[in-house]
Amino acid sequence: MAVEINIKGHANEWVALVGNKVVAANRSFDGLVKKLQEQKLTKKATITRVSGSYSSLKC
Amino acid sequence: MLTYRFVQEQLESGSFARRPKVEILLKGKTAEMKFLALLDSGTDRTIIPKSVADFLGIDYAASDKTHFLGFGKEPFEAQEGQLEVIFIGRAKRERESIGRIPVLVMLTDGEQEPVLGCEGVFDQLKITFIEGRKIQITRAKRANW
Repeated sequence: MAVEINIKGHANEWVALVGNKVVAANRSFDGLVKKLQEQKLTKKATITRVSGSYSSLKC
Repeated sequence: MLTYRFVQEQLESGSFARRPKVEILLKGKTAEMKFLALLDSGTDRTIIPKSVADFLGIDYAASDKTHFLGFGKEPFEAQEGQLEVIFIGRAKRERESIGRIPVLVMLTDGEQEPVLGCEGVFDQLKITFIEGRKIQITRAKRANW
């Protein structure tokens, strides 16, 4: 079953996903890592980068 | 065998693009992290941005800086390192390690997601793209050249 992830509003950002939820986003990778460390999600999250042109992912 | 679906991305125009992205675990000397990476048989080497290399603790500082052609019109500056790549399947505990592979660390600004290129990846695995929808990955049998 495909999972749809809404990433609208995160153009040109690094995004951290847990399941189908965006748990953190940031313009810089270092900033994203800091946010994940604060939430203790560094090992759990999967990271992707959103190009300027798309708004949802279906995995 | 690992099976992935192409990731479908809805563009702001409303149309859709399907891209061969797979979930991988990248392991460096000091850290590891999961990424969605683009499988690109048209790229010779695996490429990661400097910020990711620094977080993972990849040694690249001793290598020569070289210019490569690839993304965009301008060559980008990169150094060489190594990292361990593990493919993560959709089922629990489904993993396939391809060990340490050579990687280009992209120094030029303009961060982008990791791209898995041929060397160390496509030569160790049999990767089948099915109708722009599925990706199947198995260990490649050694060919007798």
